[in-house]
Amino acid sequence: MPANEALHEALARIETTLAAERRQRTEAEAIVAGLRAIAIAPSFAATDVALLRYLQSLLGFSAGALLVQDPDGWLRERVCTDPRLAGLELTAGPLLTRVLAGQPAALFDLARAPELAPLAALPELRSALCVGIAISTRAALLLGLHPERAAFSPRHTALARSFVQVATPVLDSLAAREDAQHRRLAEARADALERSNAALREQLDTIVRQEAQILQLSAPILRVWRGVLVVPLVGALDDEQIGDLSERLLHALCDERARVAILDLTGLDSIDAATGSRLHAIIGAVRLIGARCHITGVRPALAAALAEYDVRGLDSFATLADGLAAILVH
Amino acid sequence: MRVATAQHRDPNPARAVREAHAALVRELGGAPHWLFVQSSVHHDREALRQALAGLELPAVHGSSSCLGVMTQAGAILEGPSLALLGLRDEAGSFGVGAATPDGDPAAAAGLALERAIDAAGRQGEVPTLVWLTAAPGHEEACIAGLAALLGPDVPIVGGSAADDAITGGWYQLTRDASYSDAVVISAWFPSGRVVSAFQSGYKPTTTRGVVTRASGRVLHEIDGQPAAAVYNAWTGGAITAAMNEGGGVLGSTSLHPLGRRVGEVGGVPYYRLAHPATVHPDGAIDLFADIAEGDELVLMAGAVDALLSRAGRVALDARALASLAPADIAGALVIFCAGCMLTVRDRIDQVVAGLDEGLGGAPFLGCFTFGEQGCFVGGENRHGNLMISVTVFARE
Repeated sequence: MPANEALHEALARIETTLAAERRQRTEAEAIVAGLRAIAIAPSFAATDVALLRYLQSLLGFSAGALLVQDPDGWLRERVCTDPRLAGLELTAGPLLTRVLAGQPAALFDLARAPELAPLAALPELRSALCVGIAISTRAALLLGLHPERAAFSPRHTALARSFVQVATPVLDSLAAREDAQHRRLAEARADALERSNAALREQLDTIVRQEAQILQLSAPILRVWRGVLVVPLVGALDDEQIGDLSERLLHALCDERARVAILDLTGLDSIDAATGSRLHAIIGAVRLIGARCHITGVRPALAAALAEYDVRGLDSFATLADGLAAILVH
Repeated sequence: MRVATAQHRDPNPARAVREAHAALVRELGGAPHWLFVQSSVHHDREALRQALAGLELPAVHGSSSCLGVMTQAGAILEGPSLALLGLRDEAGSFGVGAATPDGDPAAAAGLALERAIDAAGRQGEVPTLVWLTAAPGHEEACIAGLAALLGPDVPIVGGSAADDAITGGWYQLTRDASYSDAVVISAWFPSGRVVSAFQSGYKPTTTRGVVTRASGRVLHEIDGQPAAAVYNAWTGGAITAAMNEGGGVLGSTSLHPLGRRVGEVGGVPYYRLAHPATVHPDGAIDLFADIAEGDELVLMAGAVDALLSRAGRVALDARALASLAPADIAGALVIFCAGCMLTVRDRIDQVVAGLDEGLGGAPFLGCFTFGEQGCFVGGENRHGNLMISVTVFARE
């Protein structure tokens, strides 16, 4: 080869290489700009918008949408640049399956692709670029559209492929980070709930214990002498307290072999009809096991209430001291 | 992608096809998904097609080549010859379509492309590369027809069918039909990279002029003077013998083609070439490429030594464009102008050796064409003469 031809060729090869490097550098810078755009998005959901806007400028589509594949296999619009694409749904056939598997496709004529038939309603959009963006948590389709026929070429698909190859690990990382944050938040909430439940359980136990103590304190059974039990009643007694008292008193009479039980009403404020009825039932039960039941501390208001029941044979006294004295006399 | 080639000298096309295909299948580990066929015109085209149809392959694309064929095993430039290149790519798609011009080669190319895309099962999709074979005469219109459908940015590569003596004996083939004047298109959707380099083996001189009268492929005048006279003066008498009576001048002009600037890279222009084929008694020159009034012509200069090494250097350029190491190349298709081949015919083994070295020992199939179509480094798809293209398939 003559020297001047060799020189000419070497020069051409150097210039070609430089041009290729310039092109690659421009593409690399564009890809880095895209990565930056999605990396600074405030949330993973916001990366969808950032991604769509960035790819619109990189790939030159006039309208675009990002569709995410749902568990039922349908691809549904998540974000779009054009309201006409809102709500778009596509089902993946051979074309979109290939695209989602990582092979971008340029369509020179939308009308020829059966899988994009839903876009037939937008006849002003004639060509398309389909790019799959699949990460570990989801599969998504970027659909770029253009009103001109054959607006996209192998250069666009190659550029899209390069971008997706670089962007996928970043998107995966962002999704994983957000997922981890959600998991940490959920775990923190669960811990707080567990701690709150434990505190509530503890409070409940305390309340139950206190209730039991209150029950016992509101009607304690005192053995004053051998065979003589005194039950001072305090405050307003409800059904549960009286039921509890009845059970404890009958057991105590049996256990102590007591012959007399004194119900001291000195501490009762008043007796309503129901309480009176239950006291009367206690008195009857004491008698049934062969013991006597005295009532002491009967004030006029209580006497009037008790008079409504059959109190024949019942020894009642104005004060506890009177009642105890009567037992000593007998 | 896996690529294998085989060649055969058997005059019986059925046997040649069967045995060459069997060799491919052994090498590929299965039937090829795309089969490229080149043969000398010694083979009857329909007999050859029937033999190919018997293989029951999905995509068969073929044409005749001037004198013979070449592969990494060597060149066969005498007698019957057949070469096959099989491409196996489970994840890719390939389709072949054909149409006859019927007065509108652009429309025929578009129709053939649509058929090829449909045959590949990729309706509406833009192929990675379009492989074109046409009869000589309408290649620019074919490229225009393809660009009308796909836009200007899809690489279009190929070579025009050829015979041995420019007598119209060339043919084009698909699995379903053989033709003498058709456009055969393959739409490639490969799973890996495919990169093509397209160059001439010539350098520009400072001699240039403007076309002042032309029609189609006939160059009547340069700078207002009869084209033959101007050209003969430029070349120092390369076509003197044909100046009075006219006649074929292919052999005497193959080192002095006319160039037209296509573009430039970093200030270095690149050219497509037109090969003067015939001189008319009225001083007009027939070319193998369309010419238009207003085109600026540059006299190009070539040398045998440069042509011998050019194909290998185009292969190196293709590798460089694809950033492929030799081990990454699955195989290659080489389009080598028949005019260049005839100029270096006796030393064609050096061309084969250069390609073998440039492609790192990867299998290749080369054919000798009457017109070359390719994609320049700036992305322009053009038809030219005395051009060389190397298209490499990445192994990935």
